Amino acid sequence: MKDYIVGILILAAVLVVLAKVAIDQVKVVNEERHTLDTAITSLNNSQNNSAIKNKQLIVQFGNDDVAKFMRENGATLQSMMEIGSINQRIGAESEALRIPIQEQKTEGRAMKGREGTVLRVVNAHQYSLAVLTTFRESLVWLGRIEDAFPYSRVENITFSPSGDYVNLQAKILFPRMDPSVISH
Amino acid sequence: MPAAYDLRSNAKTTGNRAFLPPQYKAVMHVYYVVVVLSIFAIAGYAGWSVWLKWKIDEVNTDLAKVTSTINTQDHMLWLADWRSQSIPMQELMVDFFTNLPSDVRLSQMVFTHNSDDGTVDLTIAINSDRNQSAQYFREITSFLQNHGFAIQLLEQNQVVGATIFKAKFRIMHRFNTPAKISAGAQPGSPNN
Repeated sequence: MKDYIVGILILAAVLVVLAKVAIDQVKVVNEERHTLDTAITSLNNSQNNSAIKNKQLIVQFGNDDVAKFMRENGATLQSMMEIGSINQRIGAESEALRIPIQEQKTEGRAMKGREGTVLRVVNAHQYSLAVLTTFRESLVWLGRIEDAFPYSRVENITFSPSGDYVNLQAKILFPRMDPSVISH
Repeated sequence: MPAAYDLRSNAKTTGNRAFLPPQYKAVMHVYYVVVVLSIFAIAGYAGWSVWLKWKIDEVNTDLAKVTSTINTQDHMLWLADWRSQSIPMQELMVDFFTNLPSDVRLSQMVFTHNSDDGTVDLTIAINSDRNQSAQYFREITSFLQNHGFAIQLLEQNQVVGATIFKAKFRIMHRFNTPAKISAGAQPGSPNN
């Protein structure tokens, strides 16, 4: 074997290593290009989706300013997050009207989201209350609660006369928004 | 002493002089060209890769922002639906009792909004004679129909001291944000 063969083999090995590195690099770049294409497609689809939702928001709210909506409604939505703050507000409203709360009970509840959106389930606090007061005051009380929580829903009311008073039982739902949305 | 070769010139630098055949010089030139091109290619692809990573990060950051915005938009749309499908209960009740004839002896009233299927169940017990009760019930259902509730089911039972009417309504329209009545109206009494 000629003594320069070893040198040639070393050069060939260097060439092979370089080729391998180059091929690996090409593969990495191709994968990244594919990833970028996918990300750009997703971004375009999301932007189109967002634009469609903006049109729906304009129909619903008169504008598509998400930040403005959250500035104006964030506190209201935040107030429905914790059952403690709901309980405190209802208690305060009832005390202001001098209406004693006879019974109260809270439960968790899951409600279906909106079709065609990422929102599959919305959790809510279900608050059952019973008050005994005059008929007129019971309606005022109901209105105060609806005013205090504009996004709550009175799902059930039962008026039962009891002497000069009326026993009003109400079941009210308080939807709990995603905290990340409220802090948007 | 083993021979050593300077492969760039094919020159033997130590040991016995034994020159490489002339064709090796051309092979070595090709080799160098390939090596240099490979290095350029690797460097170029490495640079491209860095740019792609930066671009992917940028697109993903934008995507995360848009996704977050879509999530907020979805919540807003849900809230809009939710609110427009929520019955302004105080307003309805004030209107209901204001329109209720003064001689109606209403023993109990249960009004349930079924959130899952957009229907309303109404159960009322009227403590008057049967004909009068039926008349009042017609007036009540007519009142609710005027407020956008379509009757789906009706049921009437006679029990001791009262006539119990049950009705299921479908909510036929979206509610506008109610103008709240802060002090309440002057409604009639459920038990008169």
